[in-house]
Amino acid sequence: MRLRVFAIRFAFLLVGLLVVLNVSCQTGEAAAAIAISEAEHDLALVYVAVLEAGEVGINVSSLLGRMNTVGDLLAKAEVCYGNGNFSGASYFAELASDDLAVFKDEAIEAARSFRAERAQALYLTVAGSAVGGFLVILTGLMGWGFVKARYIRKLSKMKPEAD
Amino acid sequence: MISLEDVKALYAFGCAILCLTIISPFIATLMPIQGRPIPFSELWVLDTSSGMEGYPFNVTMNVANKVHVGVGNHMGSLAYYLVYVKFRNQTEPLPNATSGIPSPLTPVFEYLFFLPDNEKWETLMTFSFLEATEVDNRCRIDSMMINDQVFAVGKNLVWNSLNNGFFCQLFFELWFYNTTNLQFEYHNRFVGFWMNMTS
Repeated sequence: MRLRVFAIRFAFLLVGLLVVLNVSCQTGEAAAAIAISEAEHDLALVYVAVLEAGEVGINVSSLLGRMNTVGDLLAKAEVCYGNGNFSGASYFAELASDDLAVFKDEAIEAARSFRAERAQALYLTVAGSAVGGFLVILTGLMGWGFVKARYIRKLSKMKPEAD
Repeated sequence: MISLEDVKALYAFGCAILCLTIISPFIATLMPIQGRPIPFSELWVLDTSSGMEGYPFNVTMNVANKVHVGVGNHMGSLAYYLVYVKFRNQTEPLPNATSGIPSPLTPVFEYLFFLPDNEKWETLMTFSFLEATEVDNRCRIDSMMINDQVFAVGKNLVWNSLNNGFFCQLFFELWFYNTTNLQFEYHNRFVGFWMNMTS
């Protein structure tokens, strides 16, 4: 009888332990997936910002080295995740996020200032072209009166040819 | 002497040229740049002497093999690349180059990096096979090591009686980050090499 009670208790304990282990494993997996996903998203944001900044000749080489370091950490996190090593995946993803946090704002700020500069340059181009075009048309119309008068004056001074 | 109508036409033409010259910076912002070269990327795998004749072929257990993997960026701007390392036996699918679909196999390893335009990236990859068992005409590879990291691969190789060997292939797929749809896309480039598991 005692043995049966002990066996039942042991079975319950074992099932409980397995459930706890399974839940913690799933939690670890989910946490790793979230950590990787967040770091990937942030790195992509930085990439898009740096890409925009680089397109107009802003020197982004100082950021590239740091971005590659983060990329390397993320690749390690992905590899660990694929291999079932969720704690390792979380570790590398968090390292990547920590590294990213240092220069993410800097990169996004660089892109923002670039966008503002580009908008200002576009505004100046449009305004300059509009004003320039208007001035050319205006002076052209005014000048035409002068050219026409000069032409008529020159024509009237000409002597008629005798047949 | 030229007529007044001709003078008027010449004057109007001159004014139009001047006007176009002045607004040309604005026109340039509206027109796309023509004549850009077609963007592309390179992907290569070379042996340790940076050639193509010394790829690891007859591989044995617990012996390190080395290859150089490289990517060249000619996309016209900074690119964000992902290289998947995949391992297959003779029957598993390769990427489909015609339809541009990657291999459905799970990658065993990956490289993630940024590469400026007209630059190349190259790394030395070290790999070895750790656990394998041979039963009858089958060889099962349980795990392999890439760059000091161990991976469970669980791959069954069938004896190829035509070429006398247990053949498997390590191949590399190139993906790049598409900023339009904000995700990695297969770049329709892959390279690989065959190996014969000898002992």
